[in-house]
Amino acid sequence: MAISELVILSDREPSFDEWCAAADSVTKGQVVELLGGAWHVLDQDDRPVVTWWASQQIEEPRAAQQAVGQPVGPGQFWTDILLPPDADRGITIAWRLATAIGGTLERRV
Amino acid sequence: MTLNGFTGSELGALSYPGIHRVSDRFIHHITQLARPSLSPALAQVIFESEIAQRTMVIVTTERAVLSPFLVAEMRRFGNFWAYQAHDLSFRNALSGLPVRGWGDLVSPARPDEMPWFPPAESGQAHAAISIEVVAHHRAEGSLLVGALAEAFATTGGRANLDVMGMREPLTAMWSRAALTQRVRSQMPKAEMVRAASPDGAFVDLAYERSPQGVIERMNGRLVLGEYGLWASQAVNIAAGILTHLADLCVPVIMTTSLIDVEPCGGQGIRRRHEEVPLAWLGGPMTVRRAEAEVDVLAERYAGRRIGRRAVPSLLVTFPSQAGDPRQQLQRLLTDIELGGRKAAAANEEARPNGDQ
Repeated sequence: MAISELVILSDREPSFDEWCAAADSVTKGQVVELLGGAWHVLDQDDRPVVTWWASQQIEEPRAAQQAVGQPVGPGQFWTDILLPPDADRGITIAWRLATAIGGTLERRV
Repeated sequence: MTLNGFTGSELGALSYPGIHRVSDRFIHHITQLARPSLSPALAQVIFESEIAQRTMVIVTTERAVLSPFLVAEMRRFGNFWAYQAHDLSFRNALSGLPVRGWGDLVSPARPDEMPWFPPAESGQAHAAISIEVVAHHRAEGSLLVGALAEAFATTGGRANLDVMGMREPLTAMWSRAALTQRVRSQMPKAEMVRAASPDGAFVDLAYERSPQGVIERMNGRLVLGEYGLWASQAVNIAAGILTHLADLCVPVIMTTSLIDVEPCGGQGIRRRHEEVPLAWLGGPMTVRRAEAEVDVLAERYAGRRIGRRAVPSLLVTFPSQAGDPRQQLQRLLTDIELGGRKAAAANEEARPNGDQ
C-alpha cells in the first residue's frame, strides 16, 4: 500500500477556486486547511481524496529536475500533491486541474 | 466544497494520507519512491508525528536512497527507517536487523539475529565530510549570513551553493542577501533554511539572536568522492575547512566526521563504513569555559592554536595513525568537560555562603 507524491508543473499558479472546481467535479465534500500549509480534500464520508500544498515558483530548476527526473524550466510553478492509497479520484482531480491551467502532472522519483 | 481548519491529527491520523498506520508509539509512512526527500508531504508526516507525540517510521523499498535533508531531519526528530526486503520481511535500514514487531526498532538486538543488507554495487560507497558548527556573529547592520555555508561548499575549488529553500526540492536561487533578509524578518529565531550545491554540498542553516549577537548553527555534508580514494585525505581536508571557517566567525564549537554516503550524497540501504571523527575545533568561549589552557591542550592532543592571539581557538585532528579516532575525540571531550566541571565547582566553593 504505497502513498504517491505527485507534482503539477505549470506556467501559472492554480488558484484555490480552481482546486475546488476540480475537486467538485469528482466528489462533493469539504476542503480542510492543515496546520503546516496544506489543503486536504475529504469526500462526503470524510475519506481523504487528495492533499495539496501552496505552489512555489522555481528560480533555479536543478533540484526540481532531479525530483521529477526530467527537464523543468525556471519560472514554472511547482505544486506538491499527496494521494491516499485509494488514489483514483485524487489523480483525476489533479489531472483535471493540471489540464485546466495548461500544466502537466508528474510523479516524484 | 467548504473550507475548515484542522491539524491532520485532529482529523484522525488516518485521514491524512501521508500517515499509513498509527500505533501507541509510532506513525508509519510507507513509500515506494526511489529517492524519498524532505518534501512537504513527508515534512507534514514528521510534524503530525510530533503533534501526536509519536515517532515516525518511514518504510521504503530496499533500493530507496533518502536525501541528505531527510536524513538530517529524521535524525533531529529521532525517527526510524525500515525497509521491506525482497522476501517481504521488514528490516531496520540502519542496522540491517529484522523487525518482527515495530517495538524491535527500539529494543536491543537478540543474540541470534544477524544483520542483512542488500548487496551494494562497487563504487557506491562515497566519502563525505559531515560537519556541525555553532558560531557567533556580531549583530551588525552589515552582517550577511551564509558565508560559512559557502566556504564549506567551495572546499577544494568545488562549485558554490546554487539552491536554497525550506522543503525539497529547493527551488530558490542561493543568495546570501535573500537569506539574510529572510533570517532578519524572522528573528529572534529563524526557521531552518536548507541549501545545496551541484558538487555535493548540503547544509541546514539555523539562526537565532543571543544577547551578544547572532548564533548560527550549520549542519551539513560534503561529498568528496569514492570512499577508497578519499577517506585517507579526509582528516587534512576537514582541518582545512575548520581553519577557514574559524576565520569567518567567532567559532563556538565545530566538529567534523567522515561518513559513507551514496554518490548523490544521500543514504542508501547497504553495509556502510562507520562514522569516524576527523577534526574538532573549540572556540574561545568553549576553551575558556573549560578553564583549559589552549597551549596545554594543544600539546596533549597534538592540536594547534588558531585565531587571534588574545582569543585563541583550539583545533585538534584525529588521524588514525594516532589510534582509534573515536577514543581520541572521547578523551578530548572528557578532558574539556572535566575542566569545565572543576572550574564550576571551584567557582561554587569560592562563593560566600549567603549566595547559595
